Amino acid sequence: MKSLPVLFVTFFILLYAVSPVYSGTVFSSYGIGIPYDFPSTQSMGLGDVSIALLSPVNINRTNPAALHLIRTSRLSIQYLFENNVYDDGTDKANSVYSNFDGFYFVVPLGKDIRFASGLRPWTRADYHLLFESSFYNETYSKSVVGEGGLNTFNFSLSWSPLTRASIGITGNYVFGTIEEKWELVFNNTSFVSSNDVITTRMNGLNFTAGFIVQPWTTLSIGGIFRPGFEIDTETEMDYVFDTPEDLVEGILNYPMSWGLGAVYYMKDIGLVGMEYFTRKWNEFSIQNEEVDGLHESKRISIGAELLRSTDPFSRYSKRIAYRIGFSYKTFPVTDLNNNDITETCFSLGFGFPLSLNVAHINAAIQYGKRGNLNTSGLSENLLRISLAISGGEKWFVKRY
Amino acid sequence: MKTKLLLFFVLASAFLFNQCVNNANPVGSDYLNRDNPGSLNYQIFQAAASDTFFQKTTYTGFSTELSLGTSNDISCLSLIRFSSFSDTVDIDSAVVSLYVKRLYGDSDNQFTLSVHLATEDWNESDLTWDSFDQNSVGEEMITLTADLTSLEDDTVSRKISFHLPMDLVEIWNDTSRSEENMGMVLLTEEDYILSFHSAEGSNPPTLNIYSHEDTTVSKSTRYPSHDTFISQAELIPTSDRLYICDGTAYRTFLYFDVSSIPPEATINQALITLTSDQNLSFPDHEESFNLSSVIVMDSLWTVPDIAYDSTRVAYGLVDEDTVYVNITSYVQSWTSGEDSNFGVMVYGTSERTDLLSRAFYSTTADSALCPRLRIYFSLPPASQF
Repeated sequence: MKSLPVLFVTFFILLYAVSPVYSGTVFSSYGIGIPYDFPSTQSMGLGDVSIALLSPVNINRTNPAALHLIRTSRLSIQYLFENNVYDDGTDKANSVYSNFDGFYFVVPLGKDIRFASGLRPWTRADYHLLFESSFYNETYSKSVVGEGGLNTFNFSLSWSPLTRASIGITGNYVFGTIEEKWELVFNNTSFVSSNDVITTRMNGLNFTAGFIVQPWTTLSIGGIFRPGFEIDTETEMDYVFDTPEDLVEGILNYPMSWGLGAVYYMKDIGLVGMEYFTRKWNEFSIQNEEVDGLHESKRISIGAELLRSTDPFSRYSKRIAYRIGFSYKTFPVTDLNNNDITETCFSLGFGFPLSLNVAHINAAIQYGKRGNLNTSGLSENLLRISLAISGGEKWFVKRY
Repeated sequence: MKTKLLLFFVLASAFLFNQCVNNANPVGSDYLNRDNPGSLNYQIFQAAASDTFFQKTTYTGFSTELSLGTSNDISCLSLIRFSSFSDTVDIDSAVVSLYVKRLYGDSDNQFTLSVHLATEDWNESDLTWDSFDQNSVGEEMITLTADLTSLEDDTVSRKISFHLPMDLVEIWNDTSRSEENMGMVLLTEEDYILSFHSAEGSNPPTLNIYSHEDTTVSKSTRYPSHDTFISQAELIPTSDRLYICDGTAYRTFLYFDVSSIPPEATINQALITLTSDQNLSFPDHEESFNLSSVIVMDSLWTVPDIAYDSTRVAYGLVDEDTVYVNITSYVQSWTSGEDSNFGVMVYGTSERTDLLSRAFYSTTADSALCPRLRIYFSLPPASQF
């Protein structure tokens, strides 16, 4: 167990060796970017099932009420790789996202209370577009690059007043910057290039409330609710020429969301789960003005895990978790033909115990498709790989 | 454990904010969600009818030419001064040689030059036609005629020489009388302009002093301490032509009202286009003519000492009958509010060294000939926040 911190640091160094690369999808040009709803690596293997998922070793990043089974201080670090091949019928392009995917840290405070803290992405804006054209006999290229997104630094408290019921709340400090660069470069070198940079800094506070009930020990039902909240924005326009700094302050109304899920546990077999999550994007507004064309987004996930033994002294192959899942989600926006933009993903996942189940390495691979070339004029093939390491020690517990 | 956790937090933060980018491509660009994605615009502005020209008095003492004569209403004369010297030898003769550089206008192959004493002090670094006292042209010392046809081919032989009167040489050969040495004025009544190399030129004027001591004859060569030409042009201001002249220093004002361009626009290119009247070019329209343009800093256009920003100069070259002056940075400073738009002043880049001139069509000409400002500018996209 003493080698566990060394393992964490080694994992970090390995992540650092993989240069973080941001490149995503043009869909992230909408609003404040694509909501970054990826739960833990364990959940990704289950098709993103997470709301009612209880685990004594894997930290649930979605529902704070689901932390109460964790009985040791635990730390989890996560990494995400995403490869996106998109096709608009005339051409194809490839982009890669590779970055640290946040961390969580949980400390049991007594028998019934858990405290957690973490940092993770909240939304992601990442698009790189290039157009070439001519204007009055002058050829030029125009590029639009949007990067950034919101992150959340959060604190969670979980309380289980009853043996088979718990509630939790997470306070989120949401912050981040989205920078959009518009550059116009003429082939004629006597022209001055345009370079307009729109930088928007944002921050806001909100909370997520959650519950878990277990009518029977084999079934957990969970729910989360996050009310809408305001995000303060400060936008700055920079041009290629000098101008007085001009900041525009504003407010975004981030929409309310909620989700419900259920997980059925089968001893020495594993679990199956499903859940529904929705966010009322039709309530999203910028400067108190609703944004046209947005509608409620939804996600349905189902997944199953095969885990034949949790006994740390059983055969190692029995302690490996095998996961499979499926998710279907609709995007907040419709396509150019007013059709829903959907994302369908299939997942496989594995959980490898270390040090007699004290630590775990989780891995998940997700393959999916977003959009439809025939109906939307754009499709994206997604391949995601998530890796996580988690481990724990007993803190604040008498050893004698 | 605590130390390791601290290390963990530091590394975590470094990862989260560390980014790099992929190459851009056009795939999926139809889905870029912006109500106002910016725009690229092209607009031609006509100059305001207040365009005009004026004469700025300037010196040409550092020109490589010494011009004299009259052509196309341009008149020139030249002044040369050799420093006083003090030789103990017996001077036999002193010969001044001038080397022909070029001819403006058509000659009749004969060139008559008169050399006069200068009776007033002058300095090449500030002498102008206006500051020159015509009464300071003293008595005529020499009149000589040269056959220009004999000067056509051999560069070295393209010189005109004359002996200085010995009484003048004696004055110059006495440093105690140096205050009497005002040099000489070169005049001609020819209706064309002949230019000699000046002291700054490649074949400067020379003063060869021949002397003897006992039976030894020697020659010493001296060069001018000061020389200059001064010129004037009697141009009557008209509303249909704008003059820009080297030497006589005619300059032109232009004003373009670009206030319709929004302050957030990026000026990608702003070109002034001027079209010259080839019939009024001096000496002819085939000679290249360089222009400079500066921002006027005064709304009053108080000539001739108008305020302008000399730290920023835009240049243009007349190609055949059209000149383009790139004033992109000026227009950007006007539209962004960095500078007030009081117009631009355009003048000959070689104003203090040459004698070329151009006449450009003014705002009274039709739109294809009048001064115009062609601007490409882009408007930024609107923020969605």
